[in-house]
Amino acid sequence: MIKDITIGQYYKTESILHQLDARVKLFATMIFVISLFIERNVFNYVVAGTALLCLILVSRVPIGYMLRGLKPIAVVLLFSIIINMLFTPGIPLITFLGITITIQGIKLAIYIGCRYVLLILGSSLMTFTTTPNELTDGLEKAFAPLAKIKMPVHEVAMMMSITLRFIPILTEELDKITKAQLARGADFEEGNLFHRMKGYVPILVPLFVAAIRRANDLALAMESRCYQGGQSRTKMKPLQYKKRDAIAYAIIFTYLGVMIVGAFL
Amino acid sequence: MSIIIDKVSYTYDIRSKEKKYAVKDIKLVLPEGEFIGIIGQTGSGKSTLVQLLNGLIKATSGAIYYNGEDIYDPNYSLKELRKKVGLVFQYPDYQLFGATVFEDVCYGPKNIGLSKLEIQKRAFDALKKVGFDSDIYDASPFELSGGQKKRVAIAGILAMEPEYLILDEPSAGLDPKGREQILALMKQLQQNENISIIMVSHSMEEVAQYADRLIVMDQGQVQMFDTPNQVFSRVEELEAMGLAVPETVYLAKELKKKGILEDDNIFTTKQAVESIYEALAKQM
Repeated sequence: MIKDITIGQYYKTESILHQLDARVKLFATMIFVISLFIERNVFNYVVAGTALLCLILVSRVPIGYMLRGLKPIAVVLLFSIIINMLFTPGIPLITFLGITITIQGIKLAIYIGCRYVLLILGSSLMTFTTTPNELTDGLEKAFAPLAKIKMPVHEVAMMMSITLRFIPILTEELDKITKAQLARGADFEEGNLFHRMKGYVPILVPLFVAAIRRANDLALAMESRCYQGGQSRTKMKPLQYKKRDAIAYAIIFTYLGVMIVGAFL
Repeated sequence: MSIIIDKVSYTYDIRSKEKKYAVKDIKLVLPEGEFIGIIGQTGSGKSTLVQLLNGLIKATSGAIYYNGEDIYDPNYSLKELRKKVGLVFQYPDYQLFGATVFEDVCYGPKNIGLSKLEIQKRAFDALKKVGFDSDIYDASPFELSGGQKKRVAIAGILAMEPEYLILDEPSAGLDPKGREQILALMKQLQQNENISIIMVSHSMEEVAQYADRLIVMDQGQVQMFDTPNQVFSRVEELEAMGLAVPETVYLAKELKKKGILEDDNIFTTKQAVESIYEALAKQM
């Protein structure tokens, strides 16, 4: 059940996308997200979709595997499509049981649906091709200048990498706790909403206890290794731009340019 | 009454092409009233097997029958099964959540839907069986020692009055005294309450001492299912699977070869000391 969630995971292949500097990929994701909000027209969405498809092919992450990541959010997606379809004013197309579906509504629903899918696939492509450590390293380096104005960049990055590191551990723990309570006759599908919510207490309590215990252990382990955040720390693998990163930046800016031009078409 | 496992295989990754089976083609009959030990190295499929037994995971292929009923039948209630086949996981922290020990033990019987009086009666009984005095009933389960937590976890399952009690590595992380206590408790439950015990362990010594029969697992398959003595007579095979036979078994076998001992049915140091003493006394 929980294992089906592929979104936000890392998928190891040897592609060029995996080797790129994390900062490039972060920047590319940001540009991609922004580009989807520039203008809603057919041209822009086709360009964005094609670009994404090319990147997915380059990344060698199986498309089926990527699409599976959409499953958990399918409900939200469907909901917003339907809402947009039903409540957009415009020229009526069909009137059914007092509900009017307009042409504008259908158009908007298609655009919104495409945007959601592209947004999710685009950002999950980044996590598929970047390990959590690379990602936080990239973020830390990208925001390093902010440290000069006393922003705790390193600390925030550290917190992020710890959080990401703990997700799989906690997922596994959640699975075990659920099984342990099922073995004690727990039933998560019986009764009304309040009853069902109460049914999750036996899972949440051990999960929180485990999380706090792990956090304590980690803090102790870090302290006993004399961990200190801040400037004097060096990296084992310092981030350095290579030629391929420069090429990637060029491609990103070309893409952005095309999208801006497309907006005026 | 028995659990019958018929050609059961289970793979964690159904989608990938080359399937890696956690357990493969398991065929077993687990009769009632026995104390069965399951041993095997890490990754041999022990934990998967026990989770199959009470329907927490569903076999990829094969069938499991509990008292002659197919547990994968759509009309069969897995909740009922879990009431009869209790499973205690390795870490008690995964199941303890109540504000007090007593409240926590009540959780299982409450899920069965018993009356309040019956729930409390069962919780009292279960806590008594695992050897707790009433002074600990109101303590928080999180304040207890590792061994105590484990006993509360076992009580939580016992309160459901199972016919089979499965324990995944019950002695892991306990000191020798706590370990002894838990294992003796298991034996006692088998003998006095007629609960069938299935205990997963990677310690040969402890299963040898308590189990009537041993299941030896390796690479997802059952390699042996026999009495401890029979299992230990196949030392070479066990060693090939990376399983160590208790030291005393080697000693007893050697002494039998030399004609000093008549019986090499010895698994514990205590037994060894006694039988060697007897044998020597006879020779004198």
